[in-house]
Amino acid sequence: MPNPWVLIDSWTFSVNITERDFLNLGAYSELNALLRNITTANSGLLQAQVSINNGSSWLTASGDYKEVSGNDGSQANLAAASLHITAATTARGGHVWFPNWNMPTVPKVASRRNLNTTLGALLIPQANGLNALRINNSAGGNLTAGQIFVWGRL
Amino acid sequence: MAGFASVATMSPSGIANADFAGLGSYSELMLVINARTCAIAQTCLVQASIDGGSSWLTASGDYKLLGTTGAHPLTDRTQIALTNVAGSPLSSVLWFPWWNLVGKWKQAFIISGNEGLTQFMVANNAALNALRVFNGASANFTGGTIYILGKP
Repeated sequence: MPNPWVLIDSWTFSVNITERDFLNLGAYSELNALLRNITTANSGLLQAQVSINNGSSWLTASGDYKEVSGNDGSQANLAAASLHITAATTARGGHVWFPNWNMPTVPKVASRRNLNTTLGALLIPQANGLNALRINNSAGGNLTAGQIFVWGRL
Repeated sequence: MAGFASVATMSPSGIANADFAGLGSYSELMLVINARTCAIAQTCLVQASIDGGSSWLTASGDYKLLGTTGAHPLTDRTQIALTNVAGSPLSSVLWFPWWNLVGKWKQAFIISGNEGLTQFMVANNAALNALRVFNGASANFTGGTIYILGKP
């Protein structure tokens, strides 16, 4: 039997924050993050960014995330894994699955599981395993309501 | 039991087929193609084997495409096409969640698909144990990297 999924950490709004960081995730081979009903001060996209040094710095450069086109397989450079496609301040959610989260050498897969016409998988071209996850808003500003859940599998 | 492990890595060049054998012990399999190139832009194709790559499932109906409408009958295919149109370089991620399960058709999700998940079935009840990656028009690979990840 594979190792079971465990809830590692969660966030439920109590005060405004600009981002929510989930650290110490380097032991997990797979990771799932679910966002629910998050509202934001600025109209933007909820997004995920990752770290290879447990949050001392974050992968935020264009090209740190490669969005794969399901149409022709081309790659587009992104600075984050956006989790929905229409900017908003009103409640939005999202889901991303990292099936090889802490695997060295191989590009990491970030599979966005919202069923719509444009969101598919991204590749994170990092030789190191990932070990921290940040959720924030592409337009900056506060997260003003909502919940985030992070599950992992050893 | 651990999660995905890196099973094989290949940077094919000057060959038409990238074959991966010895995969019968994995319950889940994931194919990650990163920036594969070929001489003329083509789509990238996948076929599977139940005899370690001695032969390949190539007949119409060996693969079934489940479209977004869910309409039946499912569409017969001779292979799994990883993109809608030709591309070079081309990347894709294909996931077989029960690769070696006996007695059931195997699902194959293109998780880089534009519809979020594009689902094929490998219409075979035997366990799968080898994977072939190749290009439309039998074009040779000229670059890029193919990764095979497996879960015990």
